[in-house]
Amino acid sequence: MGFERSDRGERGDRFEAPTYEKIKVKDQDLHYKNVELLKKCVGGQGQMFSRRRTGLSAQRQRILKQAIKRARHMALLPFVE
Amino acid sequence: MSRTYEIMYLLDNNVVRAGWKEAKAGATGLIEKHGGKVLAARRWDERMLAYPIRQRRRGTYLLAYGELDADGVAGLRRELDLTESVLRYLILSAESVPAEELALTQAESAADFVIPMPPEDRFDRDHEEDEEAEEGAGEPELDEATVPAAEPAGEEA
Repeated sequence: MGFERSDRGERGDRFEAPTYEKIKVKDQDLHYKNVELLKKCVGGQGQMFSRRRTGLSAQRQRILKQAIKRARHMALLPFVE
Repeated sequence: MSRTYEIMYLLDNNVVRAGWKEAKAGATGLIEKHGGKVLAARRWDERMLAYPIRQRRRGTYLLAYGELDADGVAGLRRELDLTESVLRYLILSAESVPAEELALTQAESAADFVIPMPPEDRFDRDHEEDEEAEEGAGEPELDEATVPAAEPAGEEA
């Protein structure tokens, strides 16, 4: 068959998930005091990144979530920028 | 039964400027007041806050470890909520005091340890200038109107 890129059919026009560079948080201590690391895990407006972007396991992502929330409470991270 | 807790305070810089030892004693004294024991306490950092709290744009963090029982923690929380010099606090249970923290506490209590003075808060200065200008105008009602207006201006800087 071999479709050209320009003339993809109905089925060929699939959504492609954007790829992100994973943040290397794996071996580091996820703690609210580790602000430099937490800053990498939130976006420009202060929103947390998904697991797809942090590359963490579900369990570690929950720990990250808790750490970010604690840091926000202590005014170490913004709720919204 | 008492447990070990990690207590992080966010102290008002105006109180810290008046004297770090007094500010620290005031914060850790509350632990003792509620039947606890202070195991370690040290200045963690002085930094810009991510968002203004009670018109403060900077603050000093005090990291303390203490032993408290459950009633003591409840009492401490209640009191910290009412303490003006503590802008925020965070109490977490800890398994033990990290050795590093004990060493840093020791280092801080040494006589020749100098606590850097918190820099002047830009927002505070703007705020004061506003007040002076208003005094000249003789319109105290403007006070509340101009203070919120100063906030976004400070954030952009």
